[in-house]
Amino acid sequence: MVSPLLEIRDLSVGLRTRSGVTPLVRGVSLEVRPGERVGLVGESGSGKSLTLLAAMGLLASPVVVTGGSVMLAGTELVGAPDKVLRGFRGSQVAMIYQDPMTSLDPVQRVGAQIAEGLRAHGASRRDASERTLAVLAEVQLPGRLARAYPHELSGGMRQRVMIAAALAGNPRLLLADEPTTALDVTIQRQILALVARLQQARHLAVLWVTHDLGVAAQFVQRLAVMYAGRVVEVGPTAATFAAPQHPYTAALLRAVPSTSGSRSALGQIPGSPPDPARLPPGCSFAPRCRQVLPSCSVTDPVLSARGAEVAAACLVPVPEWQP
Amino acid sequence: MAGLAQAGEALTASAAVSPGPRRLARRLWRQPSGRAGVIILAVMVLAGLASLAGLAPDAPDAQNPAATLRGPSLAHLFGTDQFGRDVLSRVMAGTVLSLQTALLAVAICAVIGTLGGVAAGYFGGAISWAVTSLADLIFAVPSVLLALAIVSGLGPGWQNTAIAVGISYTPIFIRVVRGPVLTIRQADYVKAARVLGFSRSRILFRHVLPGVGGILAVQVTLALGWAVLIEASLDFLGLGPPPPAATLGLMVSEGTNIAGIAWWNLAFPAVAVVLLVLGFTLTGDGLRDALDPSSSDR
Amino acid sequence: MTLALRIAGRLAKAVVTLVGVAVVVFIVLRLLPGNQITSSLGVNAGLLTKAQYADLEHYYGIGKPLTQQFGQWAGDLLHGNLGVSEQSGRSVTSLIGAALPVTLELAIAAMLIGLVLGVGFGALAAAAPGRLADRGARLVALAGLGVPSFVIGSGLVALLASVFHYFPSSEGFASLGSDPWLNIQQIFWPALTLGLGIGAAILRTTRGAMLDVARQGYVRAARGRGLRPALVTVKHVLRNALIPILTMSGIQFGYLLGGTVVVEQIFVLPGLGRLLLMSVTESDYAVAEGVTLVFALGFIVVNLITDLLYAVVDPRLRS
Repeated sequence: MVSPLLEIRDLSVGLRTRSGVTPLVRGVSLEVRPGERVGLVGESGSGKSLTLLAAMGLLASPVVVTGGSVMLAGTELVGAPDKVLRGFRGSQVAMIYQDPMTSLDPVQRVGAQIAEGLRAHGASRRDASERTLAVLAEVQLPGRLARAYPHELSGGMRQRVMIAAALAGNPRLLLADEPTTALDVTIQRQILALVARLQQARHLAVLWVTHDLGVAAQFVQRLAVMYAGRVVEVGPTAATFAAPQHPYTAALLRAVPSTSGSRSALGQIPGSPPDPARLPPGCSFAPRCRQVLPSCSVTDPVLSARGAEVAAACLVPVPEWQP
Repeated sequence: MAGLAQAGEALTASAAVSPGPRRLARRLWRQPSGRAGVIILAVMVLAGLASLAGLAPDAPDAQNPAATLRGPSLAHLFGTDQFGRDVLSRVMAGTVLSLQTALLAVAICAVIGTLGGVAAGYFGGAISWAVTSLADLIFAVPSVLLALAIVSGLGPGWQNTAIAVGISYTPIFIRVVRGPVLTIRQADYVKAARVLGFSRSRILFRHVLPGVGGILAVQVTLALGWAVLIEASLDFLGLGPPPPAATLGLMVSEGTNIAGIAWWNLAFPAVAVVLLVLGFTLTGDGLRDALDPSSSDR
Repeated sequence: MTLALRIAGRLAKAVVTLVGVAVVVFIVLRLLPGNQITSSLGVNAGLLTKAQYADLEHYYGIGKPLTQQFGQWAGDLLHGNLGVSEQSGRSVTSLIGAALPVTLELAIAAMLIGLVLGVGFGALAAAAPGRLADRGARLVALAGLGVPSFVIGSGLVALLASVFHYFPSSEGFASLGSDPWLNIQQIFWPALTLGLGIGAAILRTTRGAMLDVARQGYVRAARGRGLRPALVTVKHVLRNALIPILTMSGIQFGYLLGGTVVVEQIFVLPGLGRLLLMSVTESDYAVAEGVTLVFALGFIVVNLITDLLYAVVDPRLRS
């Protein structure tokens, strides 16, 4: 068993308000091994983006890490001094974001934005310039675009620039926060294919956050499902799709339209995710769960193993599910 | 400019649920700046009213040759000036003058400016072009210059000062009102009203104007502060009511000359002006925050 | 729209505005009660014989239709002839020529002081929002905005005179060329007076803009690439905050021109502001018109420069 590159243990993130701390991420544990593609799936507000930001130390007050640990290649990142974190950012771990328009500085040329990360890690001006051109070629953008401004590029091109900026420092881990959500479908596929290619070529570990199960199905080898700040299920993609271990996952799968099989109505999950400031006692999904048991509103289930590589946080042994 | 964009957004978002006066007042009180501003204004207005009611210690122009240039004492809390006049009473009278000039000035520019802004925003086209061009023209001439010319032409007197100040501020009202009116005009509920066949004037009065109310309140307050500032400056330059009128600007001007031997003649009128301007500015800021909590200035 | 086209459009608008201002100024001053005869001769105007009065009327062009007067005046203007001052007999152009450098020096110094104080302290305040430095800066800025320049100026003069026995304006005004050190002293205090007000407004704008920009995704992305916080602040936050700062600077310059009238009076500087005040109170119309036009021109030029600077600062505005 190869030791994991990224180890998130019991991570908690909260929002500091005058009246206390509102929990947004509650005890999340997750692993990513070198070269592995892991997906983090959930609705908006499930805390998946915050998990990524916490891993990079990029949370901004009043959102703060309230507990747990994040180990990257053996070094603890939670509470580490900014100098240590800066050493890792860009060179060991890099992040790409959802909206390429707001993730690029509108008044600087894109090449400069790629190069500045390299120079921050000690590259000379010429070295940074060469590597910028090289990485732009890797994302299939002509070198002359280095002198362009973000507003002169299309959405897909901007996303490629962001990927280039992330990979320029040759990181071992890529954190992706829904990078294809803001793009239209054809561009989405191109970007996904590009990242897949780059991942293979560089033996990159990827933690890919998305709310889109289809994207997860295409790209990741293992996935974790999050609900209301908790990981409720973990497992290999194929196995999870074939036999989900948590009613929420089952409900999500039911909501995906299928091109084969029955033409029944699209499954909907009644109700909406809970307000983090007013979480119900016991399992957070209980109010919306088809198979809720009385004890579900009392005890909060813990993520427990159900097989090799598979775990779920549920009192119900096997949810109803027909693939 | 940023404030306008935010105001426009806030309006469209909350146009149907613009906070009523009572809720607005409560929100204003909760803001530290708003609270401070209102308190300061209350003190100044009370002082002014007291002067009007004859409750000041002495008459503002009551000279007393036996007690010239006395420092602050129990008999004369703010001291006396070179004619033996009680500085406190003069400051109170000056406050009244400043307030009434500012109120008249803002009344002028608010009425003309709002009408102009609403017309420009709502009717668009040639009317908008004419109104905004006129506004730009007045705006291109720096306000003190414009006020200078008008006052020196019409002669001294607080009403003329008020007219001068009012005209110079009108372009700002036009601009401030026009923006949100344009935004509201596109708002769904106004379109709905048009489709339902409501007459233009009905739409104007019942739907467009209330939405602009909050913005107007903020602008009127800020304009009052600015008006006091310009009016005091004009008085200082000798373009306001001539001596022996008790204007705060004149008192500062005269007080500067004798500041070495009688600092209270400069200090107290100066503080009065500052309190008036600050009072309005803080209240205006507080109102702006109370209307649009997402403002980035806090 | 290309940059060149935009500039051309702005220039055209500027010319139109200038013409408009000229017309307004002309009308306002001509329509005021009293005319050049009564103002220059005062009470003695009543002693003139009918013939003498008619002669003077003809000389001043009074009585001719306004449009003709304006035409004559505009024609003279385009030939660089702004008329002659009543009081001094010197040409308006030479009077303005002598006063302009003083006001220019004052305005530039005030703007510099305002920018340095405003951006400097605004950035400091934005760096630690809510903390002591921030609250202190905001309080001082509030004072700077609320205290009129004539109060600051008067207070400063009184303070310097009575406490420090320092009278830089007791000797005549020294131009930059003749006595640089005295000149700097004489300009510094009035420039500081105006600069405090400007600095207060720019401080608030800088603070607000930097806090806004700091929330943007690209700032976080830059940190995510491993940049030092100081570098992120300067290269990304401040750089993007320049746009609203530029806007506010332009607005402040508008107020600056009016402020020179008050400050030049307090500190006894022979600049355009003081010239304007004197000419208006003495009904010296030619001078008043000339100075007003120069002020309006200055305002328009600054607006143009601001527009150009926008294109420099924000690449989205270029072609």
